[in-house]
Amino acid sequence: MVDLKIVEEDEKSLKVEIRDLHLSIANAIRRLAISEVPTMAVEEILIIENTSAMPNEVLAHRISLIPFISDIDRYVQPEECTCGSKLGCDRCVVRYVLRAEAKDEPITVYSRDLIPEDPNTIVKPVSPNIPIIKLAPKQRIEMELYVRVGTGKKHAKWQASIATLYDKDGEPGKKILFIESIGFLPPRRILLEAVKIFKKKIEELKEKIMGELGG
Amino acid sequence: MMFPIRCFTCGALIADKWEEYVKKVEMGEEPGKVLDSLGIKRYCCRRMFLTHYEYYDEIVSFHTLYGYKEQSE
Repeated sequence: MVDLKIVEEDEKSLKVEIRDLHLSIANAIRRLAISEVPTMAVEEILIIENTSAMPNEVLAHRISLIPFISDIDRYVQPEECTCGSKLGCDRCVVRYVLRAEAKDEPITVYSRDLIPEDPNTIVKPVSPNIPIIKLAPKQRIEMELYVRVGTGKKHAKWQASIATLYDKDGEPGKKILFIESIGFLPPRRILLEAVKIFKKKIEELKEKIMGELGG
Repeated sequence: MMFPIRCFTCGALIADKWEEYVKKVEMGEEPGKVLDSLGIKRYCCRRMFLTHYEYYDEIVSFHTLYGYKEQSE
C-alpha cells in the first residue's frame, strides 16, 4: 500500500516520505508541482513612460519575474476565462500601476511601490523588498501591469516550486519528495494541486481509451 | 545590470534578500555565513550572490552626474 508521511514542514517547504509508489508516478507529481500548478505573475505591461537607463524590455522582464501571492480559487487562466476579452475581466486579470520619479537624489524602486487598482486584493508581491530598478535624478517611470494566471510550462516565471525526488538512504522502497515553494502558494497547496492535476489527466486518458475502445 | 530577481538555475526568489546581504557583508561579515543566515542553501542561488557585481550603480552615478542636463533647460 502507498504510504505517505510528512517528515518536515515549514511555511516555505515540505518534505514527504513516500513508500511503495512507483518512481514514474512520484516523478509525474514532482514535475506537475514545478510546471503545471497555476500561479500568478505579470503577463502584460503597458509602458507609459520610461526615462530610466534600463531598456523597456529588460525592465518588463524584471517585473514579470516578481512572484505574486496567487488566488487561484478566484482567478482562472486567460484561455479558460469566459470573457473572451484581450484586456481580461475581473476573473482573469489583476491590474497594478507603477509610478516612480527621482527628484534630486537617486532612488530604488521596490516591489512595495506597485499599487493595485483594487486596494483590497490579496494578489500582491510575495516580498515587499524586491528591488526593481534604480533611478537617477529626474528619471521617471510610469506603467500599468496586468497580473495573470499561468503555469511554469508556459513561462518559467510561473514556476510554482522547486521540487526534488530521491531515494531515502539505506531504506529501499522509500522516496523523499521535497517541495520548496517560490512563494505563490503554500507548499501543501502545491502538492495538493499537483495531485489534482495528475488525477484530471488520468481521467482524461481513461475517457479517451474508453471512447476509442467503445467502453 | 541589477541583481537578478530569480536564481538562474532553480528559479527561487533571491532579489528580496540582496540588500540585507550587501549590508551585512559591508559590515564585515563573512559572505558564506550571511547566506547561511538568510536561508540560501543551494549552491546555484549562493553563486548568484557571491559572483554578482552591481554594475547598474555605476550607470546611475553616471546619470546623476551627466544625465538630463539638456532636458531640464
